[in-house]
Amino acid sequence: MAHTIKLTNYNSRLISVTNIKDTTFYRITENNSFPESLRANYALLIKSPIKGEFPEGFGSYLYFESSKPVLVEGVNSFVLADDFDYLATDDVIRFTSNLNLRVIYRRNVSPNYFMVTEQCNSFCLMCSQPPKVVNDLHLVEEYLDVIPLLHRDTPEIGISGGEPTILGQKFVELLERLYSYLPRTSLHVLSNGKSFVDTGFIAEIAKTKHSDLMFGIPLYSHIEQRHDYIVQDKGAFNKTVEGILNLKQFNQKVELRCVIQKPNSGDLVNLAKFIARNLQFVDQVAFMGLEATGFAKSNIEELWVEPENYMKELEEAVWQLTKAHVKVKIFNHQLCLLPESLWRFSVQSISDWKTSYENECNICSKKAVCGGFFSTSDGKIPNGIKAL
Amino acid sequence: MALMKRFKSSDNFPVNSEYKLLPIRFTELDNERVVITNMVGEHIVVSQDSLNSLITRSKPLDDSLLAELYSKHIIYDGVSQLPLKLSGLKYRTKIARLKNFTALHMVVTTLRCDYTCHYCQVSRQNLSSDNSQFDMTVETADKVLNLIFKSPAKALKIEFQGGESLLNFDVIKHIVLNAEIRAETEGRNMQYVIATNLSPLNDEILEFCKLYRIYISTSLDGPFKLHNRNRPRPGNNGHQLTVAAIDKVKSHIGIDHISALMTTSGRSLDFSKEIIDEYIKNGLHAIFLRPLSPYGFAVTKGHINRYDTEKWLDFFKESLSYIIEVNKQGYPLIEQYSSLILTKILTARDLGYVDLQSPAGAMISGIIYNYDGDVYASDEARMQAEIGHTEFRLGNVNENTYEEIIGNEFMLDSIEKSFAISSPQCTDCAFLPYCGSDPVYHLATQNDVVGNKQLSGFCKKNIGIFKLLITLLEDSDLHTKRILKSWARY
Ligand code: SF4
Ligand code: SF4
Repeated sequence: MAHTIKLTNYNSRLISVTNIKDTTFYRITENNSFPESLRANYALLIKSPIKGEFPEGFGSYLYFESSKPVLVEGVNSFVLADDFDYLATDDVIRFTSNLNLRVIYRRNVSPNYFMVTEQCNSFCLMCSQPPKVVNDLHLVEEYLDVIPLLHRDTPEIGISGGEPTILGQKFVELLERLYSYLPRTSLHVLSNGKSFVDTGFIAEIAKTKHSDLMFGIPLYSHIEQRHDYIVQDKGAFNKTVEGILNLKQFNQKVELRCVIQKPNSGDLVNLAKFIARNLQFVDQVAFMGLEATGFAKSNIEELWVEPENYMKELEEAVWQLTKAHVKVKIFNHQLCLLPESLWRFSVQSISDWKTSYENECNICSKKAVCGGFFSTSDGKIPNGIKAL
Repeated sequence: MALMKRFKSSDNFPVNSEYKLLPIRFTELDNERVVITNMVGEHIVVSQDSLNSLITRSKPLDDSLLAELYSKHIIYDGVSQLPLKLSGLKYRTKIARLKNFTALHMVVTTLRCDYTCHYCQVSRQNLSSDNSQFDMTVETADKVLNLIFKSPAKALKIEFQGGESLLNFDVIKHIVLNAEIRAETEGRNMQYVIATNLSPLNDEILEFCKLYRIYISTSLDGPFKLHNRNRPRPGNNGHQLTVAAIDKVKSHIGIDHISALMTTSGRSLDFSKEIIDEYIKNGLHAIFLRPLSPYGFAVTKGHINRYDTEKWLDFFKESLSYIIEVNKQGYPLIEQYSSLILTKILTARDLGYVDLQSPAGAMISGIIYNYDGDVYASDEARMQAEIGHTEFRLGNVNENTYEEIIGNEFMLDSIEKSFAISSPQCTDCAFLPYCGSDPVYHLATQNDVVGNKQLSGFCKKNIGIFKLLITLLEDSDLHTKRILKSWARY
């Protein structure tokens, strides 16, 4: 689901490198008169040719062809491909050992997602980030290291995977560290909720006392077996719902997430009723369109359902939940597919770098407020796209 | 192309046909269908056949029905604890109000009244009576306040009644002003309601009500003719006065601060449409279709026999279908008794309506203080006392302590007997989670606090309404269903 911004600089070139280690992070600045004592941890982003004296002492220098790279012996210098021109002050980057540039954090994007592990204890039919069986502890370690470099006014950080809670104690450590360095930042954790059958684990999390922490937990159907089928794990429904109850018992915030796909597209109303009756205390419910990427792409014939075919069902489900005072959000749905009564629930949710539009959209009056399409969801354009 | 090879097909996740029953009850809905409910009031309507198969396991049930039974916690797999946990949670939610104990305190400020209604359920006194004899005194009011503030509830509601409550406005003022001070120091939330025929309404009263955000509950029995016949007033101008006063309340205090109640007399039964139209004309968005209760003057004067429950149910049905019609035409109008019951049917909540509680709502959901300081378990109990049945008189504020009043032997005994799950017939009735027990009613009509439900008008009325509402939820068009569902209060 979630995404580390990971871009390899194919067209970028290294001019000079001396002291880059695998664990080196830089925070970016465009200010070449930055205090000298701090410069070593910063990368100077140079968007136009340097005038005057060369600003010495930065950990690295990032140029574009247009900014007239200056080669200084013994200094880490890179010329970036033009698609990196979005980089800006306070972004955080890292060079990997094979000298690729990874953008770990962007100040102007929210939320920033931390993909803290690729391991998972489910195997969902439509997983956009197919899990791997690997030892990838280095991922979370990297984020633990980078946290002190992030801007203190970061509005929101998403923690995703894989299944982040698989990390156990490391996951708790991550939350603690985030709270220590970024006490005002909202945290949104994407988890399948099964780990929360262990109340001891929740107690550990609750101890961090984070005041703005929400768990986004998928619930695909009111029918146990349907949910289990979608996540490919017998008994998952029971564990997940029990996990939700436990989280609420510890006063944690919970968002239920339902990706709408063929197997559950007829269950929405009954799911809404089930939630209204049994889980009314959750903080919000999100209905999401299918992103045809990862496993979803491979399984597309079994999963794809035209949104126009479930709109009635969705409308009724949303009405049911709203009536029960449950907050509802609709993600990943193009406005022209939603009945107008649902527009106010629709959230522009596709990360900007993943959003694309159709030709039709260019003549649409709603383009500015429409969620558009997943550019990653290749070829799967729903029926009925029509300029408004 | 199916799923990738690495995935298991849905056949690997079959709905479990080896189930165990959770505690359920079932009752015939009509000739073909039955209603099944579980302990927390989730319901499903199935054919007689399916019920047989479900219980005897003679035939396999189809997957979609099984899935629904599972998700409504009517059956479970016998192993997983989740359905039990969720049911327990919902049960606790339903009865959560019990821990607050008495939140509604009704205070009869006077027995005097300017009306001479035939059905008046209280032995009113006419205007010329001596004030000092039938008005609550300030001293008594203070003792009543002491008692009200002994209640553990954080949110307290005080409802002033009569006679005509506003004829003793001084005591209303006294109680509200003092309650405000105590609420402030004790951190309680107050809400006030004045039940009144509105004829004594004046600017001073309006100002006061506005200042303390007081709710007004009045009586509107229908159009001019019907209202004035049901509710005679010297001068024959009751309807006119009421309608004019409703408008004043709306514009001075706020449109949400007025509600009206109707009492059904034998005469009303032919005028369902006219009555409802009268509510619409007055811009009211809620109507409470109440039956005439068998208390006080109503019983002694024989009005109860003018029509029976059957006729009243027909009236209810006709009225409800007209109300739904009106909603469809674009005017939102709620029938409040249906709203209370639909909330029980469709949500995990219970609004705590006095007559539909088990254990009984009398004393627990509401308690009433008469003008002379006598305390009764309910409004009906007070009326009973007026005709000599004083069993539910719990004590007097001038003589008894809170503990003595709340610990009244007869009351506690009645409450103990009032658990519907242990009442004959109720114990097997699918509607039990929506119903309640009404010891005061059954003592009045059958001389027994539990009562034989076969003979009970309370039971007959409620079964009729439960069946009607569930049938409508099953069989009616989408629009009707939406309207009914929107009356449930989550
Ligand atoms: S036409 Fe394009 S921009 Fe307009 S609502 Fe549809 S998807 Fe959105
Ligand atoms: S009083 Fe009648 S309707 Fe109510 S629970 Fe008892 S038997 Fe059922």
